[in-house]
Amino acid sequence: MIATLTNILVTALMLIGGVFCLLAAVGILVMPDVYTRMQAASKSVTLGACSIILVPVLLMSGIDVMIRGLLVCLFLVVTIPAASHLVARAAYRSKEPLAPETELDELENCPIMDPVSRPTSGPSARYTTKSSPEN
Amino acid sequence: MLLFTEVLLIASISLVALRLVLGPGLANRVVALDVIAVLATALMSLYAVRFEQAVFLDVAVILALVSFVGTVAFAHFIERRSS
Repeated sequence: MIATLTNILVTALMLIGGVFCLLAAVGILVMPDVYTRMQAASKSVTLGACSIILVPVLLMSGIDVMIRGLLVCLFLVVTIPAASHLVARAAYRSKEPLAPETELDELENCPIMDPVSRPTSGPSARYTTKSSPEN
Repeated sequence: MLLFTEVLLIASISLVALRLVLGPGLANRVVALDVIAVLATALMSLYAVRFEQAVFLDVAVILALVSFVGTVAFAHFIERRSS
């Protein structure tokens, strides 16, 4: 009974994980600019990889395997959004072009996002660019 | 079923590697490299099931750690290169 339940669960996890990883790869290949590619990369890869990493936790015996698998899963859930946020911010600051279909760029006139007018005199000076001394 | 999932993962790694080769600019390539590292982590956990070796899960832990640190470093390099 337990073995049948585990088999069904493992099969479902592997199917979900493989299909989501493949969809993420197709999205990275066909999306028009780096920000939409990053959307496909972060969300669906998180779901797919975490559900695949839960497979050895269910199939293999031993408390160490369980701890390691859950550790990898938790670590991926925490770090993938942070890393993709950092890459997106760096890409926007380095003037990575948006897709031509883009309708709204809410950070267009934001002085924090502009690397040219950003003062480099201190850690708190980057948020006070409204009254910068050059104008 | 294990073989099917491995084939799906390897196919998605090769699609993302195509973006790594094609991708215009540094940011696209950094995104593709990050995704390849996460997919390799998932593939390592499948190898742990296939060969009944818990050592492959250690590889998965190290790969996840190193890929996060590498992505953060690449983001700093992108940002510094622009200013």
